[in-house]
Amino acid sequence: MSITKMLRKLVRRPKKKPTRRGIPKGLAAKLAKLDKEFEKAEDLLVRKFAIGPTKIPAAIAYFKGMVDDAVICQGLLRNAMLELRQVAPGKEHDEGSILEMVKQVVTVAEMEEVNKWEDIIVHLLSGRAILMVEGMGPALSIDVTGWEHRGVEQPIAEAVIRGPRDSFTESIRINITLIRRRLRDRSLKVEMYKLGSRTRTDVALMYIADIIDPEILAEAQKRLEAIKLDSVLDSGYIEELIDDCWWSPFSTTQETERPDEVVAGLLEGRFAIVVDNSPFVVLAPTTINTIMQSPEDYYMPWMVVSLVRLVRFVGSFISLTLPAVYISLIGYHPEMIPSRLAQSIAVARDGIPFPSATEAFLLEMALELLREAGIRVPGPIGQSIGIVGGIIIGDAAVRAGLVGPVMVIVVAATAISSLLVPTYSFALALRNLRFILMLLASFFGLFGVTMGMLAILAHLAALKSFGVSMLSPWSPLRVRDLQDSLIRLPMMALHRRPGLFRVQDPTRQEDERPEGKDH
Amino acid sequence: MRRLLFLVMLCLALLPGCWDLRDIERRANITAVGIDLIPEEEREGLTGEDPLESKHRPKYKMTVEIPVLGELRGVEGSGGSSEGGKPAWVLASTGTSPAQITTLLDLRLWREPSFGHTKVLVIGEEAARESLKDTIDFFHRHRELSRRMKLVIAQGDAYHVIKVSPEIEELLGIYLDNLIELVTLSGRLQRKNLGEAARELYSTGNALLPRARPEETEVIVGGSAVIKNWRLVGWLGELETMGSLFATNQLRVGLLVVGSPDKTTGEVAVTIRSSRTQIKVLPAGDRISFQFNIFTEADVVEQLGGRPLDDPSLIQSIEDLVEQEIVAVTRGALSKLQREFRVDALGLGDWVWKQRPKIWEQVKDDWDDYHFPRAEFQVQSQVRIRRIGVTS
Repeated sequence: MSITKMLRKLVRRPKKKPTRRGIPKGLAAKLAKLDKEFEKAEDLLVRKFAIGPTKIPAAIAYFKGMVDDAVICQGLLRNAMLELRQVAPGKEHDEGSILEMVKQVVTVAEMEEVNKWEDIIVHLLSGRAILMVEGMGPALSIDVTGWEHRGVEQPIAEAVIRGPRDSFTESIRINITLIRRRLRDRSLKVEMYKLGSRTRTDVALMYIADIIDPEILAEAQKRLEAIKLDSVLDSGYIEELIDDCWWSPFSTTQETERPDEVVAGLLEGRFAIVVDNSPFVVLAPTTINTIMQSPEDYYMPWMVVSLVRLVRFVGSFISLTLPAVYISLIGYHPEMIPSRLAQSIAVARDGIPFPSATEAFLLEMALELLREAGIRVPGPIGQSIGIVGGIIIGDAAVRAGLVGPVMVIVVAATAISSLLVPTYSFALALRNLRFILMLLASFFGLFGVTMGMLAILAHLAALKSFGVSMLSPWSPLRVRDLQDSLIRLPMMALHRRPGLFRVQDPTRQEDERPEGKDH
Repeated sequence: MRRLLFLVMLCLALLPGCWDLRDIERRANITAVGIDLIPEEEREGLTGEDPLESKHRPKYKMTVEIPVLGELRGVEGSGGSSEGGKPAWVLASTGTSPAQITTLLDLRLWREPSFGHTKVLVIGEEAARESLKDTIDFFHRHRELSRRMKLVIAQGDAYHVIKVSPEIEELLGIYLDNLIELVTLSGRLQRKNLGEAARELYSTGNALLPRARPEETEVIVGGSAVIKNWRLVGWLGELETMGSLFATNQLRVGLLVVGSPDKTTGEVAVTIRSSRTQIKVLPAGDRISFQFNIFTEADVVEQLGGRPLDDPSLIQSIEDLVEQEIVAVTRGALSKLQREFRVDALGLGDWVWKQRPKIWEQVKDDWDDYHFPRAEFQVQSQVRIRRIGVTS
């Protein structure tokens, strides 16, 4: 799909003035029109010059800062102004020939003729330079984009010990490159969209054409095309707009800042959505299983990983239920605690003015405050706030007899456990549900917690991400896919891709065992 | 519709008002309970000033132990005062029945009494002689009480057992619970919890229950109380208890002391490493014969005097001596139950029912009164000495 065609699709936005206007022939008329269009947009730069031996007036226009100045000077202006003079004088006024001549001398890789005024506008806004020549209808749009952006740095949210250290940046070009560099497969497709009628954000839908299930792909395309928002500032917008269930605390997509995770996802038959200006790439379909996987799981020995996975599941369960279970046990079912422990807890709680539920809510709220404060304030101070809040205030609160030490342990253990979940949005969902469970626990005890857990389980069982059940491969049970779930089998045993994404090409590794023989 | 649903949910959430919510430190967790029978002559004086109550004369005395949280060892800074106050409050109260006393504790306790962590139920001797059934009924019914709570019969008053403040542990309930749980060497205690005891008692009315004797600052367990038809009829000594454990295939460890193998002075002590008893029920005319085959493995742990045990024949004779001792101990227990108490407290009737159901049908009606006292017991023992220790 040519860029023009793609860009044209965008111009569907209702406008005050009719969109189809021709380009005036005269340079002065063009510049006047441009000036009118971009009145008070003072970062628009127009440079007039003359080309060729006959000194035909011409001009380039671009937005300062969105282009690479070196390319403008060396590749464009220098060639158009100096080189063209040496071309023998001929039929310069021929429209086609002069543009051809410019194309010959300008040493920039990508350029394109535009024939519509609206296209000129769109190209300009995308950071391209527009070359206009006196007396000529079509203009030349030259790709000189190049603005300041952050380099590839270490991932912040998904750090690993073993494995690549690069992460996505805000530039969609770099991000796509990071993916393609790892996946030299001719079937890797990149479909570009421009979403947001005002922001015109570049969005790329990436997939491996001969692995992904066409139905999933069609659904993804359908949902992307249905987006009618005026602005897309981050992949979070896309994530929320293509979500399967708006009221669910769980997101049916997954975000990652690691290119290796995206590539692994693509190879499993999932698709990725790369959004310009966002260092997070959206991966879908998503299941609880994929949420609990970390790319590091495939770089370390499988036995270690299997243990770590179990720990992770236990951790997420703790982070979801521990305060609720504590409230229920203390308030409703103390007989379920072993006597010695019950004695210690009772001694520790003796004299605390609040009931356990209030105490738990107080401490959890304090923790949330600290967490939020830690995120808002700049790095080093954030850490000290965590230390001051967590240790000093916690200790002081215990000493003052406001909260029990056991509650502090419970809340701290919960906070630490929630960090075990590799996907941030899932950890957030668990955090929300934790409060609901705590509420249920303080009203109904373990009965309430059980009911809450059942409701969560029922919801998850019903929830689908692009047609894939969130609980698969456990429910519906796909025994083959269990190879990479709670435990991970060694690479030698992973012959097939997970079937739950309904891949077209199930083989991941040639199975050299003789056919028809049982393992 | 949706609004209605929301309303219902809201009511569900708010109306019950957490009626069971009572935080752990706001409950009076009773750790041990003792029940005594008040002697007839003392009951008169206990009738209160209320004429309405005069016809309900107090019959039982219940003693409970409640931990005093502020005095217990605990987390630093929130308890464990160094003044050395008593860690437990022992409270005795009288009333017509355990249920009534528990309810009336409400008037004396500053917190809601809770049986969630009750470890031990101690029944006084007199209460057990009167009727064990009346005594434990309330506790067996109670929804909070764990069936794994230990049940012991006190030799003397239960009050004195509960009143003991052990040297080593802060709470008597936990002390006694661990004491009974961790009897692992001597093999001289019938360990039973409330559930096990109730199962036996409700099926036959007979049982052997562990015995506890209060001392100044400790409680000594060992031996058993013989319960016949829900009533305490007597005691089995510690060695007799061991015999009863042999007979019912419950003995796993224990120590036996036998005479010297070479007929000189001195004794040899062996510990039982494992023991297994096969019980066979055989009809013998109109009587029933029980055959107990006891297979035991034991180690020599001590030899007082005598020659070194480097001669296999000496080991052989130790084995013979231990065999004789086991037979004697087992016979002793069986005959005491059979002759003196005339009660099948070991549940031997169950074995008849399991192995000879037809015979059981004929004898079950007067098993306790006629057939059991006439039953014949054959005890055979086979002992293997496996180790004699590392002394050279």
